[in-house]
Amino acid sequence: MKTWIVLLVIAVIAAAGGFALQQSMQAPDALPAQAALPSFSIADLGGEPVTPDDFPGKTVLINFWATWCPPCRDEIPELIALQDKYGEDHLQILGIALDDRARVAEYAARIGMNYPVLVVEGADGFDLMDAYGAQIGGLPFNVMIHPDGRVALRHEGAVTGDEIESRLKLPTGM
Amino acid sequence: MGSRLFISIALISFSALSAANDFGADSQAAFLSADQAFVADVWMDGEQATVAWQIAPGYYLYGHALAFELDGATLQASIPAGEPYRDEHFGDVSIYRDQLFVALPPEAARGTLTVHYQGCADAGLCYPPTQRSFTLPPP
Repeated sequence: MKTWIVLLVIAVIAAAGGFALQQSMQAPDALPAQAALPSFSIADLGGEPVTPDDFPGKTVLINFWATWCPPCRDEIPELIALQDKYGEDHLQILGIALDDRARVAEYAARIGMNYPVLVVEGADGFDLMDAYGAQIGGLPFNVMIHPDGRVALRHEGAVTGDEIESRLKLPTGM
Repeated sequence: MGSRLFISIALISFSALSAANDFGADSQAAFLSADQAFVADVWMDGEQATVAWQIAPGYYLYGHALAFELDGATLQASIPAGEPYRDEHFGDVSIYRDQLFVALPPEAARGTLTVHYQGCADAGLCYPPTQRSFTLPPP
């Protein structure tokens, strides 16, 4: 009888552990679904409003950056390459520049940024970063949201293209 | 024997559960806040005000981002030469590590001093332009 009770307790603990492992693999930092994440509508460099909801079925990577931030600029060629590689079906990068609009427009054109570049001047951009879970308030800050609304990556500071790619949710075989 | 076995398995399972909760969490360098990375202070020696920054190891301030105002009017401060730094965007600039002392001109003895600064971490993070205000003379 005693042995059965022990085995039952072990089974319950093991099941709880397995469940927790599964959940943490699906939601790395256990953030709520996208419905609970802040949304936004910000004009791109052409003046068109853009929101993360404009890209159903795609993973959205929100990249907060600025021209005055060298590690942000270092990331951008990799982001351009990822948008080229996966942008057709799987990934949409949104660059949110916390910067002067004219400087951003000049830089984006010169570098050839191939994804929407949204500009927020003033403190509102940092408030938006906070709402997405930024702790330090520095740049760059990247948040990746899978199509099911789960946050797959939330990273303050420079992140590599490989790290971003590893968090993408791709169909089997890609 | 049975109870010892149970306790051992329970402890192992608890450890596994804790590890599971950490699995997949974002791995990134632990950065200091801007106020921890760049500790600004001001002091007076007679009528001479000096602004000082203690800069944490692995962090630096940009010279071109330093600016000083007294009651809203720009102050021309004598900023010491820094470490030359080639930035793709800003060109040839100076950066400061460890500590920086800037002596303010004599007229900056009384009023509200506002200092502007901006810096980054070598590990790949930049802080937004920051400003701090001080009352002169310090209380």
